[in-house]
Amino acid sequence: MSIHPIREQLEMRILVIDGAMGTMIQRYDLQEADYRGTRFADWPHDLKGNNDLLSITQQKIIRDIHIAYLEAGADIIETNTFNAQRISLADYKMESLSYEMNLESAKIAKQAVQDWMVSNPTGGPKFIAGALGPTNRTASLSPDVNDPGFRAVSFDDLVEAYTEQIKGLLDGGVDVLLIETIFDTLNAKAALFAIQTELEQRNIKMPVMVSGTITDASGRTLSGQTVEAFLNSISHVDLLSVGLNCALGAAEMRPHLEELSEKAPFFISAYPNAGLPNQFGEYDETPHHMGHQIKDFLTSGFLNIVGGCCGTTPEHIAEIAKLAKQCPPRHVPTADTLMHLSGLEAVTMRPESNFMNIGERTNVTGSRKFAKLIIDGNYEEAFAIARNQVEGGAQAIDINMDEGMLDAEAAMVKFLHLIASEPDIAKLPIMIDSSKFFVIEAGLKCTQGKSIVNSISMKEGEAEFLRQANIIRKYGAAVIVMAFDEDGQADSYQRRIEICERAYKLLTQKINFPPQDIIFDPNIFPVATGMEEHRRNALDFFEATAWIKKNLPHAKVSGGVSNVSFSFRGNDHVREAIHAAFLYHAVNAGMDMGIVNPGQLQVYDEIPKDLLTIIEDVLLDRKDDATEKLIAYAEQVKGAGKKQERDEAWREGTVQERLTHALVKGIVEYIDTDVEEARKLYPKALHLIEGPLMDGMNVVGDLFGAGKMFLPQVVKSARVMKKAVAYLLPYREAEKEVGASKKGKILMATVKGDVHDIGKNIVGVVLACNNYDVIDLGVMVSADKILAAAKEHDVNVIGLSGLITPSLDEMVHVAKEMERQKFDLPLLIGGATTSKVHTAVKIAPHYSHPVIHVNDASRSVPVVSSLFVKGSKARTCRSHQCRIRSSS
Amino acid sequence: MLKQIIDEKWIQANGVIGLFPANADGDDIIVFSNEERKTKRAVFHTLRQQTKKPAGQYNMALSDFVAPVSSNVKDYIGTFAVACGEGIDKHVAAFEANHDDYSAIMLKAIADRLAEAFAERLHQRVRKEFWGYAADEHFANDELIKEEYDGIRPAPGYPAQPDHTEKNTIWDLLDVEKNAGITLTESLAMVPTAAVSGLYFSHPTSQYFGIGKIQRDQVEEYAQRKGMSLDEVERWLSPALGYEPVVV
Repeated sequence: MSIHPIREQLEMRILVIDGAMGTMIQRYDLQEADYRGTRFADWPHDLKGNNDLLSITQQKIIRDIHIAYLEAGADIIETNTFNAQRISLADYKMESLSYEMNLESAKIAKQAVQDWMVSNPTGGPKFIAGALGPTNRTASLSPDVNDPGFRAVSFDDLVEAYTEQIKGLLDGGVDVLLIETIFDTLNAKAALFAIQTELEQRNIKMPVMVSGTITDASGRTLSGQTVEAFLNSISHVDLLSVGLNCALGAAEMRPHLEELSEKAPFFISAYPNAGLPNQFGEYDETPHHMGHQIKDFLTSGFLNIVGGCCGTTPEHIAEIAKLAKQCPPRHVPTADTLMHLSGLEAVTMRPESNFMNIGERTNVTGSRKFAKLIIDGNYEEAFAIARNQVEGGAQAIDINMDEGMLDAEAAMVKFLHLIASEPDIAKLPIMIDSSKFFVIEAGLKCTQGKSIVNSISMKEGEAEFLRQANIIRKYGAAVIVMAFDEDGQADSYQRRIEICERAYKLLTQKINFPPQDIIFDPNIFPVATGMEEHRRNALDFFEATAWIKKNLPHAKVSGGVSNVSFSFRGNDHVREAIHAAFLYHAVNAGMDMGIVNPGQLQVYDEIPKDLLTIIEDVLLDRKDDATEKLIAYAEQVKGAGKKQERDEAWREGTVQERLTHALVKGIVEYIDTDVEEARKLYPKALHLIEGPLMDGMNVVGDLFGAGKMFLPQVVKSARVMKKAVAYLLPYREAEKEVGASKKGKILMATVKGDVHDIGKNIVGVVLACNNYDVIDLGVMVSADKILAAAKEHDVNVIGLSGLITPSLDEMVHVAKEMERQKFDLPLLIGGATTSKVHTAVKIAPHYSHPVIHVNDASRSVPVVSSLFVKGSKARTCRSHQCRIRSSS
Repeated sequence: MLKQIIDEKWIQANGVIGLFPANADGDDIIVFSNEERKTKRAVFHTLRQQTKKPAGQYNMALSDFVAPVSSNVKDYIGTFAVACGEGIDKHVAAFEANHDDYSAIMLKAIADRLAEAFAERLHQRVRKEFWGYAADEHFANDELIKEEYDGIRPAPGYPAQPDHTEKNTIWDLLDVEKNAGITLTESLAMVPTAAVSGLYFSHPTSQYFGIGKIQRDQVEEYAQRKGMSLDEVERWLSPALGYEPVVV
């Protein structure tokens, strides 16, 4: 097999990819008529800003920009097709032009390279990357916060749109395909799916580059994945390169790039923006300054491909190209043979990893309670079950909706959509469990992470088995293969190993399925059934497991553990002991993972010795009367299973880790002990508050800001913080320290005549959580008391609350009094009858300083924090209020 | 927490209702001292919508749901006040002292909901027993929630009657302070906060509505009916005014 020329080049040197197309187009200051050209003069929709259309209407401009970048030293130029698929083009009603735009864009780029080569015959080789943008919709997030199950675009829509785009790019003659600026990994997976399918159909190969976008300092994509989770989600395709672009400037990109560089078995690309946008939305990092950052990446050995995104110009690229010449390329590590999975976070199965628990309770066939909740549409409680599995220690969650009363496909899709917005669940990889392949496929279309499919088998013959496996491979998932063939389920040692070996060979040799992503389920059957032919059920499983691990390299073994104790239904005490003993032997034999109820696992060493002996006699088929003995034992101990315990492993962490955990999870039980321990490490109680406790609360604040924690959780966190501070109070008084450095002081009160304070109290808690000092005067507080307290405590903001209508007048009164007494503090207004309009029309005119309506508690922090950024908010708020006044 | 509230009897619910002979007189509802319907005991004042409506629909006032004096129909009106707040203060204080804002807020919110539930239950008993105009009423829970029964219980300060001062009439009629332990602040908020009060109307077509914005002519006339100054009425009705009052 010949090596693609771009790979040849990348082995030798760092390649330079071009800079921003949009920034260069801006320089031409094109107007509506320029975009339209003659062909679209009468197009019924505005076209200005439709940059991809210029590949049809202003071909020379696009060509010239390509030439400018080639001149600057770019080795790879991107086609002008960032938005050229029908989903984004719908904004301009130009869906029908997708293919043509891509075809023309590719041709222009090709022409540009040919033209440039004429005058620079030794300057090559140059490559054309067909650019596939993220589209303007997200497949794994709902655009409507009130309807988290909604999706504005489906996986199938994306595949269709991308396929059309890819056809145009391929027909136009691109050299590689580049999926870029990925903010939602599921969109990227749809693009990868479309690429694989189109290349298969044309029976050609083409290198594929992937470049994601980290949207903020949290280091996650917009859809919530960590960099490593993102990498795991797209690594099912043998990519040319993976990297990051856009969103962050070079400096902010560094740690994420470093991580990718360490972990990815592909070439690494980076093309950051020219810094962060300034207040006008422009990028102003100079070529020199940006070059400085890039040089750091290059000399650190992070990169194989480098260039620029928003705000970069040929001048930037020239600087970057100069630097790229001076540095050797990063050495690409060889791919490991570990199984990599991901939800929002990455999970890697290593040889030294412990047994992987897969939560089984979110399975309608196994949990009647879960089934009922799903049938009744009670998803909130169904999430609680899932969450319980996570807290109980599950490392992946098995989801099964195969139930007669349910539309399994619809229920699977709905559940997966909904848990996508539950980060504490969605962090784990999903095991999509169904006996119906169309349900599995529907599930795969909803998961941005790398999931596990449970399961496929050779029940319907090799052809169907391979067809299904190939589809799974294209979606990028690991797969559980049941030991099941045309003749039925394997129930002996011999049948188990024969079927598994045959399946393994088919998968690895016929369709190149990665062996580390094959998980065999060699069938766990019940023991102690009283039937002679079941005596070796457990033993055969152990032996088959050992054989698979020895003879089928990198393959994994899993199984549904609770099957084994099926004969003891209703006797949880004995069942849990059987599970623990079974797992002990199975794991020793090499079993990697199992579907269990992680909250209900007995510890092997804690099984009473007499019971353990009998159980092992059964499992290992050691004694003829073992079954009778176990049944007799079970009769005696009917009842009490092990009480469910939460994972207390966090108690093992450092004191800082424990404090953060307690704050984030809202656990008060240990806070006094932990604070006492931490207090000894700090010279002053104040340092403890400002250090580890505040760090913990900052985590809470960030999670809340990012929508990853919800109000009730934050309120619980606040309680932990208050407890901790209260514990430290005597020490702080002893130290004679007052006034820890808070972000600011906020005075709050329910106004005179009103007694409603639930909302106000919630706002108080949320602000306190975000490190504001909150002084709450309570209810029925007169204007003079409010203002006197404001002076006394020297506060930064006053917040008024009220529910009944007369309170609106009282708020006006307070505003007038503030004006009269020459206050200059911002005034916040909140409560059920208050409104933006009332605030603007009735209150704000009476006070010359900012008066801002806060709609609910979740708005309080952004509003207050913006007030502390001098000027900004207040000014825009004023002008907005003027507009409201004039229109009402 | 709800279980604990019930098991440990944290909250005492207090309520009072009254049913009175009444007939409408224009947009007012006259409450009579006795069945002879000769002497006025009190007057509930209502407000009428003032919007342009399609043919066949009319602008509603609550008084429309009571038979007019001229009809000679012996109609009635009911009124009530209930609270579920008594007893929570010490528990709220205990939670706050323990830095448990979550439980403090939750307890208040639950008390609020319980007061609403109490009002709902009492309304049902009024319909079936005390007033008894719907003694045979049988509705499943979700039908009750959808308010499929006849009759409404609008509250002063809410859209059908935004004027909180009508509460004073209820308090006078029922001696609410003594009978249910609910007091009113100067802005006519109820204390304890977890409280509901309102009027009962039995007419089968009675329904909840919002009066929307009302105009100066009605407000002037309303002030006269209530014997209050225009200025004062405008202040109480400020969110419902469809015009800019003259500032004195």
